[in-house]
Amino acid sequence: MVAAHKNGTTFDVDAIRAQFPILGTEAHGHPLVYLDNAATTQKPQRVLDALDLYYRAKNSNVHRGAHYLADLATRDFEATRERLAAFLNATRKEEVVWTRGTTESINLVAQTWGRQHVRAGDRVIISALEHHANIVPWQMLCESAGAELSIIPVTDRGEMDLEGYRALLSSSVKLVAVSHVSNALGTVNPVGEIVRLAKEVGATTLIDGAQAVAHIPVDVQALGADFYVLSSHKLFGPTGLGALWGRYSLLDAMPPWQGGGEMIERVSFEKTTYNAPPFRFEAGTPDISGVIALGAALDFIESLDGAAAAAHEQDVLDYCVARARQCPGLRLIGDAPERCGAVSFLLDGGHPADVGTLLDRQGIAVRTGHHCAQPLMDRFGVPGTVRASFAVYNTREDVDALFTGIEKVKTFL
Amino acid sequence: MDTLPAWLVDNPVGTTIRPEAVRNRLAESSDWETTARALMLLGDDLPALPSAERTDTNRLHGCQASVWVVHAYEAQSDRLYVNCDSDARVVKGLLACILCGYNGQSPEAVQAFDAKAFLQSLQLDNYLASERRNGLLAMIGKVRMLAHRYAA
Repeated sequence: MVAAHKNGTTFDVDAIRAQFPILGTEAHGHPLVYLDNAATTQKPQRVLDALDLYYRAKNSNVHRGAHYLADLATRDFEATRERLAAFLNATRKEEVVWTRGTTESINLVAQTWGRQHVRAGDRVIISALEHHANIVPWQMLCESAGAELSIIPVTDRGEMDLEGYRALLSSSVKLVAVSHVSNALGTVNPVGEIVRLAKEVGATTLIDGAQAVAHIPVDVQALGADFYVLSSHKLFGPTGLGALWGRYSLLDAMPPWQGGGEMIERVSFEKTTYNAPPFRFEAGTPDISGVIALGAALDFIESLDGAAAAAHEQDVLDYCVARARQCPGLRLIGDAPERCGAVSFLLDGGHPADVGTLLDRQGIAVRTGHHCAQPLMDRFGVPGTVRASFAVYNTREDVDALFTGIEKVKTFL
Repeated sequence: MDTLPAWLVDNPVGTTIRPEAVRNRLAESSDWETTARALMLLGDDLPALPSAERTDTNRLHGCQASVWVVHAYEAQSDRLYVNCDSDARVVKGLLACILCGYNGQSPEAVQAFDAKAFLQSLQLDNYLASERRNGLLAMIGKVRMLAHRYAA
């Protein structure tokens, strides 16, 4: 299907879908309708090929071998670091640290920068719509440091309350850590403004970009934040890999976290000196195949006409929200005008777990539950929600299938 | 011993609705819709727990749906009474599929009932994989632990 958009571009979604083998499969005997992209995105053929080719033709350890294969792997591995740096518009590739994912990236900052800078009486600010990954590491830090965790309130529409945020800001705030896009509600948060206000009180900022990077162009220089974290698997790349972007001057002043090979400059039993960033934070053999395949995922994203892809995604999301508003007995949870990637809802008389099970039997994959955001569910007074989340390969037909499925589910309630 | 409450002893699931009956009810289902409806109706046969019993202590943690498990052992008759409730209907039906082999039975009979194999024979074992959604394995574990405690 080729859709024409207002900006005059065209977008061939069938050609995109054809690159994702899993989208042609079935679930419970029905064609798969995959609407769980906020949990993980599917992988295009070129990512699968890159993983396969790595183990067939390049497998060797990076940075140390003095042989042909080691050079080949190291070159591809470091080329992806450079690619991701460019993808985020970072000033240099040494600002990109490979981790196991967004969660580990946040823990890394909390356990290094955090332990160095957050003291008793200081405050760390997060928001009420954070994923547990951007709550618990800061709780752990605050507990050990004797610092206080402050929470930006969330409005009934699922937006951060900027007045409430301003009221929390003072010189005792050392860090503001918020998500770019809410995983549970899809709200796009005003991170530029949040960073700007944090800087006014001299606070360092971390943006959790896990739910943003597959949908929104990210420019870390323009954003002005100090740390930006993401996961490969939500960006069409392999699981078990993520990245921490940090300003080089901050990374360079941070102590190491995990000890081992790669992160050292020189080891003796008397005194070990540490490597420079990013290697200081990459102890042990990294996920070489994952990094190289992430490079292929970035190739996929860059192969898209960015404006047309964004218009297509917005069209599918707007269509889903419009259908949701017309659906009797459906209640949207979170209704922010700035929304990206996800729609959360409840059906009257239907527990999310039941709704999810009954949709699953029709081949429709959604996420149900608290979405690792229990404080946010408490805020809305719900046990959880049903969440449909989208990627560039989803279509209006997927939305139609979802609502046909929902009508069927209603006959059970 | 105090008289046991009706929502515990007057539970047809496990006493009059035994595994063979559950198998027959689900065997009539030829597609997922009929199966899902049959499961939900089976769940309706479980007497609802009074709200006073829907406590955190009785709740299995870590499940998307709330699942409460309440039990009593009657030494005189050597019977273990178990009832479950859930705020999700499919989950409650699945719980009933397990309770049919547990409730109102002797601890030895409970230990002898292979709930996982029974679910497998009903082609419902794929629900065991979504443990975090429904807590079935946690419920099986809890009842087997109780049976072990009361077994002679």
